[in-house]
Amino acid sequence: MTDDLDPSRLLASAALDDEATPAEHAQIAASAELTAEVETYRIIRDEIRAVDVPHTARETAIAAALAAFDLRVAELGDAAVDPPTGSPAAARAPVVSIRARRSRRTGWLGGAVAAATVGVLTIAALNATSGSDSKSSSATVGEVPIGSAARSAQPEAADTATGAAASGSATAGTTAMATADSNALASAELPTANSEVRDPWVGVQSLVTHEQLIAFATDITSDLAGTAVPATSAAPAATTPVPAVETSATTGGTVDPSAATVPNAHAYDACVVRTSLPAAPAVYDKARVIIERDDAAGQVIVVDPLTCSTILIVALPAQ
Amino acid sequence: MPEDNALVAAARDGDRNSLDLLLRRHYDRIYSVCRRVTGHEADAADAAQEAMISIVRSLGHFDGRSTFATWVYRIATNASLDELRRRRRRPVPGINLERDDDSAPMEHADPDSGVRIDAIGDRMLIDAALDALAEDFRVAVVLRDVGDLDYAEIAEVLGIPVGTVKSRIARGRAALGVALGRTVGGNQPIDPERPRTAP
Repeated sequence: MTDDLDPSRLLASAALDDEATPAEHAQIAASAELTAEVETYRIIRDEIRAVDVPHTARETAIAAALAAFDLRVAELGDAAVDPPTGSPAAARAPVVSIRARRSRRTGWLGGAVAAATVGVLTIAALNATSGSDSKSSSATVGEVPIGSAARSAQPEAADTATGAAASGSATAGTTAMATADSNALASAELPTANSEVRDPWVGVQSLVTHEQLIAFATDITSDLAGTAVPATSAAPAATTPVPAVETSATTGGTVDPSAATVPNAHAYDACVVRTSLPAAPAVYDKARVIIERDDAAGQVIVVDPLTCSTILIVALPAQ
Repeated sequence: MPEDNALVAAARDGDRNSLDLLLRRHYDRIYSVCRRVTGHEADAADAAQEAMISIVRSLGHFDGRSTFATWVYRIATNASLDELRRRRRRPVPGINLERDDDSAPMEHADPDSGVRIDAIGDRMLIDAALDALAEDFRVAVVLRDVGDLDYAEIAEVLGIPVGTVKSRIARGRAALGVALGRTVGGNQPIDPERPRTAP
């Protein structure tokens, strides 16, 4: 862009914006070229203004914003009963998971299928007598519990981890938000870990700032990617200082809802095996997440372990 | 219809319906600003949603010194720029502005399809022209032409002097005119003394 802007163009632009003086307007009126220039700018302005606003995007955004509002109200009202495990982060998940929409563009079904997959893996592990590994599990669709089936059949429930948006309806979105709220609070009473597998989030770092995310991601070593967490370890202590995350309204079947919906070793594996990036579990914004480092793109990627969808992308500092 | 400030006050008091009305009133223009700043529908939807949530979370900080619209567009602009920064980390296929003049004209089974294709082509050209514009100029033009903010409001949003706003908008428009092949004199100065009509 050159610095030697012709003053007459400055004049034409100002005239279009009604920022010109009467004398300047008269000057424009006396010049055919200036008048034509103003008209050209007007046409371009009209074309720039002509934006089609997608209905779905509008309703999704408004639903998410209202969900954020509801959460604020709920936090104020429920402050006295908030459990110390940080379950409000679970309720907040639909709000902070905007980035997940990028992966949801292929349809909410993908997330639901991923959730169902996690459910299948989890149930297979629960049904195993001992020492089962998620990667060697061979659960069939017929083994999917009622809870998991319902979960994949209900977009508003499956979507609570990725934003109150899949239905494209503000009402449905906020309904989902309310569901997430109530379940998040309910899950606070539940144990935070599967009794058969080691919880990958036990003892992990709790991150708050982007700088902490970057520092954490930088330290991840490549050999952690795709590494299954041993499933034979003893259960963690009940006082594990990691948040319980409940994102589904399903409680049916024979499955302990906490095991089906709280990210665990199987959820971790289900997500991590999909990537060749260095990855590790962490707690970010009080929620269980997987941190991935993409050196090629220069990004730190925060992934929701329940849906394997991206929650947040933070740029790595330039080398 | 209630004023923005009345709706803000009601929303702060917990009135969800007022907030809903306020958000609906401003969403389309927020999205439009995001769309033109980011140049991409999906990025715009993300940025607009980020902006809407930020508005809700920051409502308590809105002090009424500027208009609500100015405040909202500042948030939308920042969300759009954040989105752009994120996007720079991802490879995005570009639009080829060059036309193949040697290619044979297309035949359309639908007589109106040519018109529609032209319209789509024009939109893509606008997107490409805006995308080619330096970010500073693009944001200023978008806030003026899409956000409908005056120079003083844009200066407030961007934290720059009004004179700089005026200059950026003029430069941006001149560059857009050239990029779109519509400016009368290209980069040549216009002679304001030239008579309006031929003698």
